[in-house]
Amino acid sequence: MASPPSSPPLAILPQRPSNKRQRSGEVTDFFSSDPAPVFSSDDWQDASIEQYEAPRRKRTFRGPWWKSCKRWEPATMLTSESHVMSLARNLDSGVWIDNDDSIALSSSLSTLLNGPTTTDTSYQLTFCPDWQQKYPAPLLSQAELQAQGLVESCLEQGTQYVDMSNLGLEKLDGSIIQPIRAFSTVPMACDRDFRPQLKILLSMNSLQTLPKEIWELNHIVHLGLRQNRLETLSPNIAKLVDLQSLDITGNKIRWLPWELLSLITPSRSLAMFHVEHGNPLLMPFEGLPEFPSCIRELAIGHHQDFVQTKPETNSGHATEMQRWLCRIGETIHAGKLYGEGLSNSHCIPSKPWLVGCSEMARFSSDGTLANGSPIAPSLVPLEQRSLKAYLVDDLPQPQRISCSRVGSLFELSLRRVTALISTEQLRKYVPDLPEGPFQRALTEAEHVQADGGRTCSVCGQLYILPRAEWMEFWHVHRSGATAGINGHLLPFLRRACSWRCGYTAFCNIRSAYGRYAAKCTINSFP
Amino acid sequence: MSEEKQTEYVTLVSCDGFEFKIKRSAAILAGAIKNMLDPNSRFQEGLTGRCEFENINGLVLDKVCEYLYYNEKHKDAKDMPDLDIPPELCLELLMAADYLNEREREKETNSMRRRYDKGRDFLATFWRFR
Repeated sequence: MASPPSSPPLAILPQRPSNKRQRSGEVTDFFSSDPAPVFSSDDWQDASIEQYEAPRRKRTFRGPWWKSCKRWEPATMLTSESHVMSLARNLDSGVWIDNDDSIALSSSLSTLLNGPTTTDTSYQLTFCPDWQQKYPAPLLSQAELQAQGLVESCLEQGTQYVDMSNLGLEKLDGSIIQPIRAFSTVPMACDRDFRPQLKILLSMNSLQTLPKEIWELNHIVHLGLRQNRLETLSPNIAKLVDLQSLDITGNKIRWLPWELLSLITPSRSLAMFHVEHGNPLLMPFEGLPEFPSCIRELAIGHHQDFVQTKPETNSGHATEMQRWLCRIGETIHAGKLYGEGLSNSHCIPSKPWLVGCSEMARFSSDGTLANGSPIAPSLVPLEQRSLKAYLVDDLPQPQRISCSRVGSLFELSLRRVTALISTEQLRKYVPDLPEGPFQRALTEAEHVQADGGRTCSVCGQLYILPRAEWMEFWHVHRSGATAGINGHLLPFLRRACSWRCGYTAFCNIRSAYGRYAAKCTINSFP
Repeated sequence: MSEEKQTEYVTLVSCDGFEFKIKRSAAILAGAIKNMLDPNSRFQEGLTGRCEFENINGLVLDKVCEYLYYNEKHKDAKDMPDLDIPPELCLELLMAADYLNEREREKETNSMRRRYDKGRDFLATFWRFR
């Protein structure tokens, strides 16, 4: 008789955890979702009859709630190796990708908990132990902390005058400047507007760069950057539309951004700016400091006789220089004749006038100088103080350029790459990228990012690598300087995103001069 | 080879065998391809009208061709729409663009190829990380 087939063995069911409360005094599960006791007098342990024998310890909580979570020590997390590994995987999942908000959050959290300078891991940081090595909270130097304090006190008291001069700042973190954006004033009278009139002084420091956040404070009225180590001024300064006075003397500035001209037109308010003292400005000639005294004679009206009466004999550039002086005299003269924007007794037009221009330098698509291009103004060696330039009337006709305005493939993909990942990250993950132009382009992209982006001065498109650049010399009148005629020749660097843009701009300059020659009035600034 | 005998279309071949037939007028906007196709340069490509890129895969070359047409279309335009570059391609495209530039500049293939191969290794590492 066949026995029935044996049934499979019963599965061993896991023992259900009992729902009963644990009576032991210890709470083992630290990660339980049980709400923490709210009051210090709450019974933390079970107040059953058995517990009455044992002496009960009253628990007190001191400090903020997040400090009471002592069990989440980073040390315990670090001991389990597998946990760290799985976390390391998650770090790259895009959640922690370079994000201003998250960094700001972590820095503000760590500031809240421990003060800004300590390296103790905060509550947030315990989840990912190497968070701080990856994205260090901006460690502020002593000087920066002092500056931060100054900004905070100004914001609290409602003072519009932020004096951060002479603090010995070597760099200025954007997070210090950013709070000033929130500044607003309460007007005393009804007709005043709410816009603050910020005065920011950063003079007598050792700053080499400025944070991009400073260009977003578009209510700055006075910006003092005297006696620093700045080498260039960002074109984004054109965003400060309310700027009335700018002081950049005593830096290492060799040229001004062309975009600054948009602030100097009479419709804007920038009337006072101090540039020329202590800056190694690039000029068409070496000997231009004596310029003003010569122009004074010209301004009176003898500029036609100038060439005969005052021949410069000892310099090779004499005749060329005289032509430049004559041109400046003419512009002053024209301003006097047409009564355009006259300033008190000196009869100087307050509009900037284009006097001369260097040749257009062309770059190939990866940012190196193209074949057959003249030297780029930004590549002129430091010890050289002069740059070959032409007066507007004998500016050579640029080569006809028929290439398109479309950025090169290199430029387009570089733009996309840097929008997605920071260059720092790219370098970290891809440690040895090909050298040469590739690396240089990445460095450039890094600069542009830190500076807050670049727009083409001709078509207004965003770009990273300039394809064309040239220097324009403008005669700019400024009030508030010392006595006499203080119209000066200043170099402005102009950049374009494509050769076509550069060509268009050059043709515009020439045609504008043609109009001047016809009407004897220069109106080349749009 | 005289001007009339040049074909209107040229063929670009990727390393994985995809062939792209595009207009010669668009293709020569890229300096490197122009050099390769130049009949006077005595490259074989100049005679056959067929360029093979051993370092550029089909996906990337597709995008390169799209760019070439985009470039030709917006030659005289002032405001053009952005070329859409998918994020997973952009770094490879950057490498390819650098490679094409290199060819234009040096016309010397070996060192560039080595560099490009180096770049590709990094790329592989990079995407593994991602």
